[in-house]
Amino acid sequence: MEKTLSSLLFLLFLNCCFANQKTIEFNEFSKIIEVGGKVEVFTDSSNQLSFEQVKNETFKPVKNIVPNLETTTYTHWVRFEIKNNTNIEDLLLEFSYPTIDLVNFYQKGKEGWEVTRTGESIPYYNRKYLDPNFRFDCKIQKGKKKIYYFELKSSDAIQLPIIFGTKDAIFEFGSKRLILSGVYFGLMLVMIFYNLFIYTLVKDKSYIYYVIYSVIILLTQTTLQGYPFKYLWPSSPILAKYSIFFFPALVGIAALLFMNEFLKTKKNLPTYYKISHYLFIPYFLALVLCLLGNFKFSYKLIEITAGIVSLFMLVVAVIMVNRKYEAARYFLVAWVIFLIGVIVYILKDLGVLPFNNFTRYTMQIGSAIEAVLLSFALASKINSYKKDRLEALLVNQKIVREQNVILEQKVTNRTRELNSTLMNLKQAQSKLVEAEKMSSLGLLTAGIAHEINNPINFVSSNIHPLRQDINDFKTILNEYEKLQKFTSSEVLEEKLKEIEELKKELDYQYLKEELDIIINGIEEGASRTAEIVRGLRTFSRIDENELSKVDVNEGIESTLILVRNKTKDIEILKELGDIPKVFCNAGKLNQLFMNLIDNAIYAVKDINEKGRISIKSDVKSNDKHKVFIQITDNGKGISADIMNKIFDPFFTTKDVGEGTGLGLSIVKSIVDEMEGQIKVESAVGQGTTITLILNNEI
Amino acid sequence: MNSKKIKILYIDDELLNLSAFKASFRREYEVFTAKSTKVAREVLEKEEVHIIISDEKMPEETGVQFFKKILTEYPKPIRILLTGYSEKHIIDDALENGKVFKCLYKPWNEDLIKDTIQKAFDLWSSQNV
Repeated sequence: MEKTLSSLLFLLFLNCCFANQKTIEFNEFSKIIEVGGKVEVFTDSSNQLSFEQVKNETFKPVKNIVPNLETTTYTHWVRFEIKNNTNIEDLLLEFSYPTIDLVNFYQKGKEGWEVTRTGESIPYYNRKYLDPNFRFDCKIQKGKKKIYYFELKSSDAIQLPIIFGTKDAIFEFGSKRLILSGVYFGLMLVMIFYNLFIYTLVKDKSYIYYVIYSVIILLTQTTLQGYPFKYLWPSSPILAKYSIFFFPALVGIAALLFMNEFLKTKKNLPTYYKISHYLFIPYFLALVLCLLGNFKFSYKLIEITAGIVSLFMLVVAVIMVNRKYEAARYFLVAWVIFLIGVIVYILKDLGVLPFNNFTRYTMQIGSAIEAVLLSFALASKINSYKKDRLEALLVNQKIVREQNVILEQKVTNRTRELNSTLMNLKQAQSKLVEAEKMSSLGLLTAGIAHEINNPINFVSSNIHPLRQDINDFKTILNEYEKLQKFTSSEVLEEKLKEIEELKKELDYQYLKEELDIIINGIEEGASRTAEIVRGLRTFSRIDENELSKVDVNEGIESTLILVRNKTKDIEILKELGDIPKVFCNAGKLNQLFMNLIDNAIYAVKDINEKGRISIKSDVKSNDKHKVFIQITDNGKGISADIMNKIFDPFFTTKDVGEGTGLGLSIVKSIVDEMEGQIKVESAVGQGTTITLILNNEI
Repeated sequence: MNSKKIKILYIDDELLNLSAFKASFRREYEVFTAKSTKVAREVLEKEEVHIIISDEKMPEETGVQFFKKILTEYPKPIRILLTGYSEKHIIDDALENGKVFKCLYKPWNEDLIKDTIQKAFDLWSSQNV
């Protein structure tokens, strides 16, 4: 693209030309002289003229220091004359434009005109002087003049940066140039690897575009100086030829890609982003033209596009700077510096600025500074990322803090709600447990009322007949007492007969029997009542929390007494083993048995066969510290689908009002409290077995 | 009227209730006792009793069930239920379907029983002139 500008600026400076001298003087003090501006040029548009023919043609002088020959398919001829005013005879001519395809150098030797053939189309190692620039030996004796011709042919632009001087001076000049190139090359490589490394760390696409751009610009710059031909593909003139088209085109594309990514034009300037993609088209077209062999148009296209792209990128950068886009400032400065480098290079070509190693390499310097600045720009982007992230982090932290406060508030509220719900639940639960207790006690007392009715009836209903019978006995006894008054045996016999009559009347024999029956009844009634009351006493202890050693069998017995009225038509089988006492709450244990036995009674209520409930207790055979109690009935059984619900509170299969559904859940909680186990085995229609395993030691 | 003519059948599964009943009332009435409804039927076959007093809750069948069953065969005797229960539905059932004259409760009050027996016999007498 520097060539584009050079072409543009060349037009501007067209009229500002320097006086042209026919003979170039080489004096002692000037070790290197610029020849390019003092040559004459002839263009052979037929491409068929021989050197001999050309010599007679009219050459026109060029108008600036580094003449620019238009990109044509024609053969250009350059002619110049040098006069050597020094003592040094072995001098060197350097044609410092390495990309020319064909360079034929003509000079007059001992046997007429000699030609040295070189150029980029000829393998590199065929050269005498292995330098990207073309160097030719010139032997001019002191005070003598010599005419030289160049026959040049190239598919791209041809400039004529020709210098002349002593070998040492030219070599020194070359080595300085090499050092500068080395510095440039090294700097670019450092930048490339540094940013490639950063890319691997941060994975920001800008970096990889930067790296691609830098690699291509490095290749382009070095291509212009002929280094790739020297180092990368010395024996492949074809590659060298194409590279001069490919790299500038790729530089343009890479620059656009980098700009788009770096300035985020897709987001910030969508229109420009689209335009940037249209700018790829001429580049691709140029590449196609180049491959088709139309080098002239290809080169022109690349030149024009490069100019447009340069201005386009400048415009985008300025817009972004105006928009206060931090990274754009570096980008703009970098770009401007690069363009300044290009402009200085062109001004040097036009003779406005002197030709020296600085002006000769302003483009590389500009490019290097650009690379460094862009790298800074990327770094600053990281900083701005960091800043953004820090800000975001602080904002996030603030949000998190606020959220925490809200969350804590919510947790507190929810905890309070939960606590009050828990309290309500606990109250409800204790109410329900109380209700269950009352209902089971109610059930119990109704049963007890009936159960106690009979024995009390034995007592109460026998009192009156007892009194009557005793009265009868008293009557008879009185009659016997009266006998003492009588001494005569006749009277006595008479009276005894009367007493016998009385005895018959009062049914004395039956009275004696009945007295036994009555006393038996009273005795039995009293003892049964006492038994029930004893059994009841343990139930009254349900609310007490005190633990004591409780006889399990006794608990079973007293429970059975309390449900006797319900079990009249049920066969009760007891197999109560000799088991140790269990440390627990007696009332709760009895409540547990009551619920289980009541369930068993309910289960066998409406079955076809006679109801049977067997209650077994024993020491567990494999663990002496455990007792088991097994209650088996032959009732309805529990179906498998509700088996896992039977311990749930409020789960009941009974009709509404018949049961609370709390019985087994209370059993479970009592068993859990005692750290025991409860197992249920059941088959529908066959019955249920409930096994309790309790610890007899703590 | 000689009250001794009043024949009473008392049914209860508790033998001690039977003996107490007999001891209490044998002086006034002719008392037959039965420890089950089965024995009661046997008595009914032999004796024409005026009043049947039965316990409600018994192993084989309840008093009301028994009353219902013998209703057609022995419609004459006046039926009295003597129960430890005071559950309303049993009493309602007894009064409605068992043609029970009255329900009495254990432990019994001797005077109330005598009074009821007298009333029952009066009813029997009015029905069987």
